[in-house]
Amino acid sequence: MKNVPFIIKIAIKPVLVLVLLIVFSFIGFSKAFSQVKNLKEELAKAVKNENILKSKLDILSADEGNLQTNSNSAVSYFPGENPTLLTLYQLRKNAVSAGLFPSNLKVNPGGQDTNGFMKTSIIFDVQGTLSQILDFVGLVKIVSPNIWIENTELDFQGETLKATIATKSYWAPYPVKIPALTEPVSQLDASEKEILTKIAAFNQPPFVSLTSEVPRENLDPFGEEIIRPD
Amino acid sequence: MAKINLLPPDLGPNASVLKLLNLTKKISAIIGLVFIIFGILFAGYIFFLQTEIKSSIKRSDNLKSSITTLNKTEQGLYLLKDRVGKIKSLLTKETQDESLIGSKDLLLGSAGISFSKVETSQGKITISASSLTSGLLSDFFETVIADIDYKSINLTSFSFNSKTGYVFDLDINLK
Repeated sequence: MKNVPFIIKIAIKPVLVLVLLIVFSFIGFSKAFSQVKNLKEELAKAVKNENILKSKLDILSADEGNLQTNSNSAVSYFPGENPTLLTLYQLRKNAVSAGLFPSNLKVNPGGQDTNGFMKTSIIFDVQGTLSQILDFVGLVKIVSPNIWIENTELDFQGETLKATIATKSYWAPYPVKIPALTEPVSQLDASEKEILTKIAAFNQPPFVSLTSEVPRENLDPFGEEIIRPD
Repeated sequence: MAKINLLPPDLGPNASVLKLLNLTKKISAIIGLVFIIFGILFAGYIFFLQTEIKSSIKRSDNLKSSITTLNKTEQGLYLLKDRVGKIKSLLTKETQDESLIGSKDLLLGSAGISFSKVETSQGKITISASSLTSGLLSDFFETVIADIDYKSINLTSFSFNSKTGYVFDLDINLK
């Protein structure tokens, strides 16, 4: 150490301090910048999440009122379960309205079409006048569940005629999962509202809700009074 | 007590080196000061960001619990969106066959024409009919030809029989 020149001895301390300060500043600032960047990203994510939740809550609060009515129309028009029974009900009801009676009903439970929808087909005969049959065909187009006339065969037999009508209806199972709480939800757009208005005007099938009965003691389990022989 | 330097001036550092050292010290002091000031600013900003994140998360939690109380509505809305989406694609794919209803006037208003069979499917009508007189048959054909909803009309068979008159088959394609 004795051989170290005096100039270096006096310069080493301030230079070392300067170098250390530069190094510390560089490390410190780069760390601080990276932390600020991370926190800013985290904040943006949190704010985005909050905004999604806010708009979701607004939409849910606003839609709460008329949601039930709209859901009923939509579910009734495009059911989540095989609608064959409801379709038969609507066909029969509208046939009776037009003064006809459907007979020779053939139901094909069908399968899946290219869109992933399930399809059921019903073929049946009706006998009546041409105007009755045309009225019936017109009525069937505006009912729920959806009924599409595939083809019609009119066989004229004097004044009355026999019509063989093939119809199809579509359905799809209900969704089984709802999206995560933080997933955004959108309101119905104009075209969706238009569809709902259109199908709400369709002839709805009756909805039957059964309420469970309170258990009770059956005092007459055999359904008749037992008469014992004398 | 006064500081006495007994060393000859030639042995001490020269003035330019001392100036440089002084400058180094000044730069060190400035860098240190800047480091402290910016350090405080960064610490404050980081604290602000952390507070903002915490309060946003808290607000989100409150919103989540409010949404949870509307769970039924959320399920209903999701179901409604699902159904409406499917109805939309169904209505794009399917159209109601209007061929029978569209031919109502033709079928009901053609006097003197005896229809024996009419078949309709998507956009197509096949008519088998007969007429006792050529005049009524001509009126019928004129009505068919004048109908703007028919894209093409093919007379697939035509025959005459003294018992039934003119017997014909028509294939009509709708627009």
